[in-house]
Amino acid sequence: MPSELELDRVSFRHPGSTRDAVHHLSLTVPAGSMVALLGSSGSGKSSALRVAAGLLTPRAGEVRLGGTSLTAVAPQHRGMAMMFQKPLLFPHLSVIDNVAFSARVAGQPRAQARAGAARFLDLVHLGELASRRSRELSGGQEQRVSLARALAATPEVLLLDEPFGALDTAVREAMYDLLGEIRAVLEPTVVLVTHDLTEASLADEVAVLSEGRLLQRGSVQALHSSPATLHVARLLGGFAELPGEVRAGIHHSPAGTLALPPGCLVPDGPATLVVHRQAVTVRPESPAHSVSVAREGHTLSGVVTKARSVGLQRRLSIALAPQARHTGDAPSIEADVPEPSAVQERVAVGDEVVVSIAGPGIWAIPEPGDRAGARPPSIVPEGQDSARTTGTA
Amino acid sequence: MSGRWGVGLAAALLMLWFAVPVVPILVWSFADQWRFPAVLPQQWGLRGWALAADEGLVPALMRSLGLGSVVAVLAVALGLGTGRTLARRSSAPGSRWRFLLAVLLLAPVALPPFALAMGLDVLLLRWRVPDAVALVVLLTVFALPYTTYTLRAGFLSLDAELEDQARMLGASRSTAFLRVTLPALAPTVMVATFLAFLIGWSDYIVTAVVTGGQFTTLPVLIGSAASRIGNEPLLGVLSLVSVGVPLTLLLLSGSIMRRTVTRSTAKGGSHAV
Repeated sequence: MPSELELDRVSFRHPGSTRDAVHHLSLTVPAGSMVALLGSSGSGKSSALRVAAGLLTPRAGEVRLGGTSLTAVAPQHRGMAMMFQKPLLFPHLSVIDNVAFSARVAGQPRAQARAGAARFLDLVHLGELASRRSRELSGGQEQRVSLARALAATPEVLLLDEPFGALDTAVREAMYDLLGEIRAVLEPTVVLVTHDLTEASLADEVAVLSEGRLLQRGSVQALHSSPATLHVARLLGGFAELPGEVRAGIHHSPAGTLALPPGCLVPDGPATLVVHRQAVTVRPESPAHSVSVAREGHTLSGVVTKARSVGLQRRLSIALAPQARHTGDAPSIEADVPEPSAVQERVAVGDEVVVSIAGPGIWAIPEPGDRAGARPPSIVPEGQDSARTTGTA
Repeated sequence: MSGRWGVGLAAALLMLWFAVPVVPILVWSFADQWRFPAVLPQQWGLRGWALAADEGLVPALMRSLGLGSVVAVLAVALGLGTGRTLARRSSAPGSRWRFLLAVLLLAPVALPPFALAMGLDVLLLRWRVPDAVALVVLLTVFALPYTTYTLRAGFLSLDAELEDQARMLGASRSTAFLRVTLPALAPTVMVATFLAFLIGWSDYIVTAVVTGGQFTTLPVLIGSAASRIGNEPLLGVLSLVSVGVPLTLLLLSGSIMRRTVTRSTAKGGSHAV
């Protein structure tokens, strides 16, 4: 039975440290949903998870499950199961006995516990490996057993602490599919800690943490289309930053002028425009194009400085602001273009190009927006009048 | 192939190393008469065993077994705590106390046992601690460095998060330790137990100093027999028993460990959860 997990102004500090690893963190994970805690190393995401699990004691705040405070509840009685970065299978037990561990600890006879465990082992498609030891399994199999073991504890909340980080790409993809299958069948409340945006995309919502603070929360699409701070944009990756100034909904920078997208309500003043490479298209420079795009306010001109293959695409680095190009101060932007393509064939390092920027992936962040305690920009979704805030701490 | 030969040669040399001292005492224990320079005894018999029985071999054997067992249990129990602390805090910054703990633990090994036993015995006498208790306490202190550092190595080889994982599956702190840590550490615990048992089993100095020779263990009996001349058959029997018990335990524990490994790799069977 999934329950809502709530962290209410939780703070935690490691012994001997002078600063909080988790600072006044408030986060609600609705019953049956999946929330990813996304952050770089040392952002406090794993500490937050361990505080929720009861493995770390907060210095302030409260953890609640289904509205009930867990302050005085030991980890084993919290109704949560956790998968760690490593599979942590018990080396002296077989696969089936690892999965049956929670039932055995709860006092079930061995035969009954094993019968129950077999169901969860089948769920992760490893029923035939029941009698093996952990050292006889591959890394992916170990993590699947670990997942089955966590699920066999029938937790109200499943906590995942970067459990797929050490797996190779193909196995990780299989684990993502498996997690999706399990969510569809068991509908557990899930909290996933990760530093990988692709992995975070599995979740219904993503909470971005930095220095123990919640910077922003929303869907991956929402984070991409409107990052609240430069830190969030940098963490998501793929954004170019164009420092400049906003005047009447237009961003002015040495690279040129660009109109802000609808819904991006940034007051006049210094602001950094963040542009995701997926919002950028490139075509060779021509006077006719330049004239037409200047009116649109969504195009800039530049010179290709680097080009390299990334999978089936070609990533171009483009120096903007031709007048500053030779001083080394030119802002740059990246664009992914299909490879091979007619455009790509014509564009080479040193070519002058027109850069068009459109759609989601362009956003302005006021200058103080990246400072601690500063308010992020407000966002008005297209077609709505009321504003909503994107970040709370 | 040359590797297998090398391993075989090393095993043979190791067996020779153990066998060389045992062969003469084995022969002596069944020799009623063996005069120099004969290679083998002139007369075989069980005179040594009869003498040993008269001298109190069985009670001494029982005392030594008891002493070794009690010391092993106490030193391993304490070593689990200290070894775990040293292993888990090994990466903690600024742990000066860890150095202090290491010095305290290693003091009984670094200092001459006679001096240490004498010094501590004076203190224990003044505190009116019974001899048997004082003997166990002192030998446990002597055994503690061995169990601590053996178990510390075991804890270091074990993932520190295993217990957290067990707790997240419904186990209390003690259940996690008993059902996960201890079974996973079983081979190391067995080695530590064996080492601590040997400290209690083979001690002569501390037993002699603390009990004034009143608590006759096997080593005390051997010391007494060795101080007399013409006692070679008796000494042979006592020495054979004193070597035989730990050797049997060593072979037994080796067999248990080998069977555990074989069972787990061949059948994938498991310990009871």
